[in-house]
Amino acid sequence: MATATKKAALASTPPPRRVQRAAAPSWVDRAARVVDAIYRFLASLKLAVITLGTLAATLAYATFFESWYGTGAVQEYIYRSTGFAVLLAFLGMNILCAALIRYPWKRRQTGFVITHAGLLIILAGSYYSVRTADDGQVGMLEGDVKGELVRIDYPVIRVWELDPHTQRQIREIDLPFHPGSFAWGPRRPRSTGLVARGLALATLGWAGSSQATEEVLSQPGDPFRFVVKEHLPASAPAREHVADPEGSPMARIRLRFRAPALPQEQDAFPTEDHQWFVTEKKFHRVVRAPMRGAPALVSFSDVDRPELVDDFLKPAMSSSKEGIARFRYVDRSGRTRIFDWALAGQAGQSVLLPESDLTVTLSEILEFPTQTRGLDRILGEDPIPIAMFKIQRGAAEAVTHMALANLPMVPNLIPSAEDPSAAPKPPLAAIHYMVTPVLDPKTNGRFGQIDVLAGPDHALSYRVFGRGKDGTTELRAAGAVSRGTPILAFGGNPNMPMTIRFEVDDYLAAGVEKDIYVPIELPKGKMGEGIAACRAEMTVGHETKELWLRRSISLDPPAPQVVTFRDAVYAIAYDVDRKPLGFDLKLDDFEVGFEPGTEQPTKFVSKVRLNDPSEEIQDQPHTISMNHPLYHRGYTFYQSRYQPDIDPHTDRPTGRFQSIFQVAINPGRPIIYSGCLMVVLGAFVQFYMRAGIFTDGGKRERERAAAKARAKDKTGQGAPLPQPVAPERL
Amino acid sequence: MRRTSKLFAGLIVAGFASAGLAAQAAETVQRPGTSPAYEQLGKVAVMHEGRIKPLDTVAREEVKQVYGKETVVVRDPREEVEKIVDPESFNRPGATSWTVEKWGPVAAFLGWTVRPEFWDDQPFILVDYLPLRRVVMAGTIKARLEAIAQKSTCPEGEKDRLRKLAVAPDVTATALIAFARDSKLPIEDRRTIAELAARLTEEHKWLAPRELEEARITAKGQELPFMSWAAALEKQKRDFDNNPQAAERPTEIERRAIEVAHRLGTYLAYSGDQFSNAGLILVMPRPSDAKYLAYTAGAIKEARAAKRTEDLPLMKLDALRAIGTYWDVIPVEDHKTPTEDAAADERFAAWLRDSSAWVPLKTLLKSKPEDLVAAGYPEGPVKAFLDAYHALEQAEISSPGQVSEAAAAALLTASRSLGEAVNPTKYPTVAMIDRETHFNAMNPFWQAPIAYGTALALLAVSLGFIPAAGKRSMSALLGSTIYRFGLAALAIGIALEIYGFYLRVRITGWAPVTNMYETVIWVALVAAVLSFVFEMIYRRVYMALAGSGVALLGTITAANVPLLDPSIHSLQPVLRSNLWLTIHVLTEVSSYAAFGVAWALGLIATLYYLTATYRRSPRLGELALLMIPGLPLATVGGAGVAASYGAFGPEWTTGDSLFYVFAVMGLVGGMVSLASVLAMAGEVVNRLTFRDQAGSEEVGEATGWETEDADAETGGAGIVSLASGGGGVATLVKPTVAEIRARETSHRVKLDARGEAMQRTAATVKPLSNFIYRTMQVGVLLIAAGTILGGVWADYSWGRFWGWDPKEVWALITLLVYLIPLHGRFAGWVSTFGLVVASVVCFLSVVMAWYGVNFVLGVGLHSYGFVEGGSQGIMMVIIAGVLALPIAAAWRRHLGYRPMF
Repeated sequence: MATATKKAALASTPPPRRVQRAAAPSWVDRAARVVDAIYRFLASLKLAVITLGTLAATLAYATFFESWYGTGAVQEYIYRSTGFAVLLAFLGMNILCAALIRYPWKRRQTGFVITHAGLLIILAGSYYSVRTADDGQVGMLEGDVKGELVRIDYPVIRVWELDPHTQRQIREIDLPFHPGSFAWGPRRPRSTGLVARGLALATLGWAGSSQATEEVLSQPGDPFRFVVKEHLPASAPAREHVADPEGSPMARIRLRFRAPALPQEQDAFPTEDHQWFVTEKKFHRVVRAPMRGAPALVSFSDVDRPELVDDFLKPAMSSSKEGIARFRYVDRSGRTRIFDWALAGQAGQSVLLPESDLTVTLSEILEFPTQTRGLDRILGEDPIPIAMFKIQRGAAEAVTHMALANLPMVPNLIPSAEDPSAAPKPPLAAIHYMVTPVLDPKTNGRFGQIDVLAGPDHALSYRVFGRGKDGTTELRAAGAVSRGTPILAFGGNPNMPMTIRFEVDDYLAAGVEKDIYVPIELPKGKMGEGIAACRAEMTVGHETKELWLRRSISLDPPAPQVVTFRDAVYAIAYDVDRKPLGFDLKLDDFEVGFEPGTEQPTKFVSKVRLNDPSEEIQDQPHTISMNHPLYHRGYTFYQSRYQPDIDPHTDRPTGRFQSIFQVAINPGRPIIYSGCLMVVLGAFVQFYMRAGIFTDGGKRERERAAAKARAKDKTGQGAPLPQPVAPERL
Repeated sequence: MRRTSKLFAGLIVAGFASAGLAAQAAETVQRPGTSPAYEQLGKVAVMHEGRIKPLDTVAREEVKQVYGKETVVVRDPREEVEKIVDPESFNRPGATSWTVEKWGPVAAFLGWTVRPEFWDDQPFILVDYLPLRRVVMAGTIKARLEAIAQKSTCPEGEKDRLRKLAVAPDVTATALIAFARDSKLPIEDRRTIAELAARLTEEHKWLAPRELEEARITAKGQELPFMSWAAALEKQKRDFDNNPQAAERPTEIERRAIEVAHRLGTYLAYSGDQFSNAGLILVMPRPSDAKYLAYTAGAIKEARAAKRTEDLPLMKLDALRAIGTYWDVIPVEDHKTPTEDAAADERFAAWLRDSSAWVPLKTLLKSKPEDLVAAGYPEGPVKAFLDAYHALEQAEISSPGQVSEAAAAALLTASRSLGEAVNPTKYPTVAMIDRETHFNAMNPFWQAPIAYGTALALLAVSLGFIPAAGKRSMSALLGSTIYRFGLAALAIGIALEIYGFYLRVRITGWAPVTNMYETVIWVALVAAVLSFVFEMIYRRVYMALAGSGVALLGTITAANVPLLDPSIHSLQPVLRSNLWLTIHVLTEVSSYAAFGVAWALGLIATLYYLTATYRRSPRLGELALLMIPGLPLATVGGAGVAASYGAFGPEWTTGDSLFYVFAVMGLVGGMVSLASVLAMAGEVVNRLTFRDQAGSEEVGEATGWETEDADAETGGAGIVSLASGGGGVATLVKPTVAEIRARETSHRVKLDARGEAMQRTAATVKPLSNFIYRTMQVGVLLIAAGTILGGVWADYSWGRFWGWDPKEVWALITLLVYLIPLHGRFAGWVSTFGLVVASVVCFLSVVMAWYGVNFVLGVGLHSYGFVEGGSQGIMMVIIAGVLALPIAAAWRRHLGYRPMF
């Protein structure tokens, strides 16, 4: 054994050429001694025990880490980390040295050698696999032909340069992206690794915490600069409301109701998206009916004249469906006067506005069908009455005025059809056409209406219509709104079982909606199912644009987003790497079976056809099902799962299923398998031969020896049989 | 040592005896629904949760879900009341005897549907969580107490007390019982109060459906019926599970309330008239002939023409539901009305035969017979079936639980002839049904613990009769007889389990590797078999003792822990018909059994160490030193945990992280304190069994038996660490016979009593540690093979050999953890005692791999059977309790070898 040690030591020592001869032996000697010491250290059993313990502890920690942060994170920070590779390499070194130092091996060491050689082969095979193996998914609907591998774990940002005129693709630039499995961005530093994370935690963020929180993906030669500012591993679409002078008024109104059988108050508009009321540009109004249960209508509108706020707070009420038109005009003495005209049965009639020379004739009341253009969802009524008037100053020519019910911001005069560019004449009188809302649960299911109005000074007012005793509509309340204070609209007394209150949380005099993505917290065990999104900035020349990109829910590439710059147009998508297989598969038929009467699947079977021109295979039929994969050119296709196909237009399942295959290629597999076989065989041999699981630890040999001793005893040689002695320590 | 063994044996026997002598009260027991008629009825084939099974199985599963056990015990309600109102006369011998009805599952289940008016008032909905029962009963108690206070018969002085009780925030059983006993109210009012009090006692675990339905819960300032409350809670829980930020975490009471609501819902679904899906007993296959297709086509036409589909005949609605289900799983363009396209018809008919759900009993009963005939049911059998059912219903109503065998047999025959006429291929054979009912009735897995328990007791007793070397005596003969009987019991247990597995595999059609329950009983079997084999080789009792212990623990756990579901379910596709999976899981789980046996052997050895004689006897005061850190830690930790649960009011509740800190403190403190107590107990046992004549530790020193290593003398697989040429590399060197003899001769010193006692312990512990070593080797071999086979299976099923899935990783960790003592022994780091401790401690990693991955980590591909809540708290306490044993042994051993201070 000593010779072997020496040999090994010499082999790994560089020949001392330039050293002087006299000093050489001591130097070589010392170096050899050091190497020998290292070798012995690496080969020692005690070190093996420590390494095994360390590995076990690391793995145990890793599983908890996975439980807290998800599979992606543990892969990134532990299993694929350099530290872990070093630990495994160290273990391999330990095993190798331990095996070599015992050379030449005795017969009884056969099992030991086989086991440990097997372990080394497994480690080597794993290393080879890491370098060569690849995996991904292929998903297809019946009839689809697919020839590329979707490598889910390798995100890529794809940028296509488009021709500004023809919108054709000029070229594609792929930007590989390694965002990691934690969200990062402003306020959320990006951690570099476990050690740094621990350090940051220990020093409360003072040290070791983060890199820069942005990642530049574009190369210096690219025609643009692409920077990812924020990354979310699990995202949900959301809408952001920001102030913008170009935008329109909007308010966030929360409506809470409590029905008699419900335990607690509920939000009638459950999501923030539903709570934002963004006024329509032309009509300056938006209406929304609550999502669940509360049969009241909520409207938000804005006006630019103070007198309209007065009208809003003290509306002219009329029980007829024709309503009342309020005229504001200048009388003979130059004062502004108000005249209310109830229009019921007045078609064709004329009135002289008091103290003026204005004659008003009601030509007719038309109906504006809002439903056809989806406007009823903005205006709240279908149809909306339009009153057509002719107003005549003295004997001058009559001018046609119109008024849309409850939409005072729609101008009364319409630009003439012949000459749209000509400015409309100033109206002879401002008309505010007020129609009291019909509240009849039988016809329209409503029993109340809540209106919120933004005035010219950005002050908010509200009014509430409710049903009176005889079923007619009455104004319940009206007044100013202060932000964040709940206002009781209905109920609150024993006679009314339903209680509704509302509250204006936020108001923007001018704002726009932006589509963004927000991070979501996924529950334990589902953390890998999030859909990643990122916020990026793209700069072309001096022009910078911000955009949000999101990965596709399915395995198909996401629809690219077109970004137009002054002198270039790009289409951008957040995709994953797609690798051509070199052959393709066509899914003929996919069948999924369920346990009778349940939703538990019992089988998935895909019938595919394989086409490989390079091997002259054409339409070769194969059946892939659970536990029955398809092997071709080193690739293995496993039936992994299925997912119902959703019609993008109707959001409803089409009854078809996308069959998803897990695809893997691993040239190192035979190496690992042979290593495994050796480990098991070796362990068996070792335990059987040496430790004698089934031989009672050499009992027979001992008995034989004892018999021999007895025989000797009889001949008078040797001592009597030994007595057991109390041990030092039990 | 023999004295110690006898003491153990005596203790064990005493324990068994006292358990057997449970007090028996005067009661007349009736057993309705156990006659052969119900056996016949149980054989009616039904479809339930996607599987065709006998009604017997369904009844057992549903009754167990609702009541907690398979036999519903209905006690005379007056019994509890009398016990409270007048305990003296209640306990007097010869007092009134009370009737107890023990309802068999099939009869109870039939009763729910047929006689709801009776069952509505029986307390059989399991509400075992006392705080929840208080919440449910609070409203009723308040109302009743106030009603009594309103009565004119109520004495003035009692009114105030009553009102005070009524408004108290938490009325306890004790307060009510005290009031019922000593108040001056009329006896009937006291009985009313006693009745209420009985609902709040620990023994009364069940409430009647009506009580639950009528209960009004005050939650969040609102008064609600129980079911509405539970529905709101269920929604909250769903929201919370989907997104922990979206909703509040349900409290323990709330989670229990959801469970109770499910139980009540199950009962109501069967008893009520409404057509909820849960309670439909699917009794009959669906026809699939041309007549049925035409009938379906007609139903579709009618449904398209009708305004309200609800008004269609039930059988037509059922046909519509069936074709709707079919259409959901095929592409839209293939949706063809039956009879239009021959090829589509054929596919639909095949689906109807093989994959469609059966027709519910309620649909058949409420349809007109001519409608059923139009749907394709043959006229004669369908009428016979309906008549047989109605006859049975009448019989059950007129004599509950006492149906005649003829009526039941008639229904069984009628349903079989109808079922076979409609779908001859899929209707189960008589043999299949009989096999399952036989399995249910016998349940070998429930019998096995009795055999294992007997084996454990007999073997433990036989340990006390180990003959002194070579002597033949009466006690030796007795001992070996008991030992033989013990082995026979173990063999019977094994046979029972094997028979059970045979039946179960025949019923399910796949290997027993699909859920936690199956792995637990499999481990019990493998542990028993393994230990039996080893016992046959070594004949040293310990192996069989440890094996029967593990098997008993396994089978008892499987039968009693609600987390382990013994019912047979349908299976994930990936787990079906897979050879590699079967081999992998069985190997892997068998390794758990080997480690389990090693663990049990370790515990036995620990007990020896705990009571062994050492060089000196430590004083009890020294042994109690561990309490100095232990008790304060336990107190602070326990108080912290209690505070987290709101024991000291809401302002003391803490966040999650602090809770875990306190929990760990409490566990560690409790474990150390318990270890101290155990060490003291061990010392006391040792002093009782060992009388040291010299009585001083100096004598031991003088005798000079501390010269050699323990391993050398006993000459087992003696391993001596030698610094060989490898430098720190240990090599196995067995002393030659000559060496041993040379050593022995040099040490032939006359030992004193203490020395002899130590010698005897060494002789006992040595083979134990050898057994531990062997079983660990078997385990390591199995787990290495199992883990690798797992890789093979993963490669075969998912396309990767190793994916760092938590279950895979924990199997690897277990392997590594057991390799540490095995290598450590070669390195000279792990002594005999170290190996014993390692066998107990390393088992933690098996617990983690087996239970923890599913219930603590809750992530990964292997958590197919992930169930929420695995009683982690209880598990931690058990683990800490078991770990206290080796700690105690180590502490006492440590003190036993160190000089006095």
